[in-house]
Amino acid sequence: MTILSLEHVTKKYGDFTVFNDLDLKINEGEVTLIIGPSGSGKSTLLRCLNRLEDIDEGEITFHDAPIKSETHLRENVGMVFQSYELFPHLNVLDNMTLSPRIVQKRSRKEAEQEALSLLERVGLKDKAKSFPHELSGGQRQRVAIVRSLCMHPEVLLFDEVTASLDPEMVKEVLDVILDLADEGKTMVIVTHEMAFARAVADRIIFIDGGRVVEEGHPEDFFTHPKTERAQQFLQNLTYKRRKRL
Amino acid sequence: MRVDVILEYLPLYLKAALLSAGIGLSSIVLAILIGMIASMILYYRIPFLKRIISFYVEVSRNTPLMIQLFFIYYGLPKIGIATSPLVCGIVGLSFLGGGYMCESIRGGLESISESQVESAMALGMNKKQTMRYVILPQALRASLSGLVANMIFMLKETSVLSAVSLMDLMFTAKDLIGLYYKTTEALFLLVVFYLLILTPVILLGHLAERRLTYGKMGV
Repeated sequence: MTILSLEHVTKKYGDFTVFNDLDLKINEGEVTLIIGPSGSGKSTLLRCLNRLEDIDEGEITFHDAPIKSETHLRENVGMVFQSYELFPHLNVLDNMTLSPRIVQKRSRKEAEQEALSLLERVGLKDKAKSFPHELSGGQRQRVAIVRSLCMHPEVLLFDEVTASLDPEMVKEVLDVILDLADEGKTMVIVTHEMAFARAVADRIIFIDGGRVVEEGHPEDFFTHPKTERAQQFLQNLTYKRRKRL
Repeated sequence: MRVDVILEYLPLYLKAALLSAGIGLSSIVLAILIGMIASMILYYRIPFLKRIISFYVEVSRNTPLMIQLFFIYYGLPKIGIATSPLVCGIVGLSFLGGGYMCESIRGGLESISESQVESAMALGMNKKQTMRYVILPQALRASLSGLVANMIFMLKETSVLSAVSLMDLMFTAKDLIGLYYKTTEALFLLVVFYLLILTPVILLGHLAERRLTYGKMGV
C-alpha cells in the first residue's frame, strides 16, 4: 500500500531545475534508500516529502489523497536531520514530549511514559533530564530519532543522519535505524554509508541530475548495476593503489 | 556634609524616587511590549509594516530623549494632542526604549538558525507554536544581556524627565540646591537614590543570565 507519493513533481531554485516531472512512491513497511552524488537533489527530494520545500509543479499525496495541510502531513511524516536539531533550551524528555503535547494534545504523563520507554530502548533512559549540550553527537542523534517516533509518524525521513558523526558513533545510530527496519517501519533514508544502505534497504533509488537513474533491489543494484552512471558511481566508492613501491 | 539636612531631605527624595522608578519601570514594560511586536514584524518581514517599524527604530534611537519629550510636551498640543507631564514622560521613555528593545529582540530572533525552525515544523508545529515554544525562548535568552542593558539605560534616562516639569529625582535635587545651596547633600542623595533604583535591576539581570545561560544553554 502506498502511503506517500510524489506525482509529476518539479522543483526549481530560480532558473535551476532540481528535478523535473519526478514520480516516487513510498510503500508501507518498505525501507527506501535514496543515493546519488552530491548535488543530485537527494536531500531536496526528501524535504519535498514533508513539504519543508515547496514544489513548483505536481502533487504530493498521502494515502492516495491530496494533503490536508502541511502541519497534518508533517505530523505523520517524521524527519531526522544531519545536525540533530534538538531544542537546546529543553531537556531530553521535554524535547521529546513538546510536540506530542502541543500538537497532538496528549497528556504530559502519557507522553512522558512513552518517551521514557523509547529512551530505554535506545539505551538513554538515564539521560532523560540531560540537556542536549551534555550529550555526545551519537546520543543526540538517537534522541532526535526517538523524538520523531514520539509523534507516531507513519513514515520517517532520515537526511544524512550520520554525516557529522565520528565513525564510532555512526554505528550506534545506524543500529537504531536497523532495529526500526526490523520492526517494519516505513522509512526513506538519504545516506552516504553504502554498507549500511545495502544492509537496511528494501529498495534503492539512485538519482543523478534530478532524475531517477536506477531503481531496484539492493543486492542487484550493488552487484550488477544496470546503468553506466550507477556503475561509475559505485566504482568511485572503491579504492585501489595504482602503484606500489 | 550634614546628616540633619540629609534626614530632612529624605522624604522628598523618597517621593521623587518613587516617581522616577515608577515611570522607569512602567516604560520598561511598555518598551518590551513594543519591542516584541516590532521585532516580530521585522522578523516575519511583514510588508509595509516593516518599513514603518524600521523608520520608527531609526527615529527613536537617533534622537535624544530630551528632544522626544519636548516634541510630545510642546509640539503635539499644537495639533490638539495635549498630555500631562506623567503621560508625556511614560510615552516618551517607552518610545525611546521600544526602539532599543526591538533591536535587541530582533538580534535574538535572528540568531536562531533556520534549521531549528525546520526541526520544529517537521514535528508538526505550526508557525505560532514554533515561535512560542522554540524560537522565542531561545531568542529571549540570547538577547537577555541586551535587554538588561536597555533597562539600565532607560532607568538612567529618567533623569531628563524634569525637562517636562516632572518632580523626579533630578528635579528635586536641582530644586533643593536652588532653594538652600546645600549642594553636597542634595547631590549625594541623588547618587544614592539612583544607585538604589539601579542596583537591584543589575543584580537581577546577572542572576537571570547566570541561571539561563550556564544552567541550560549551550549548543
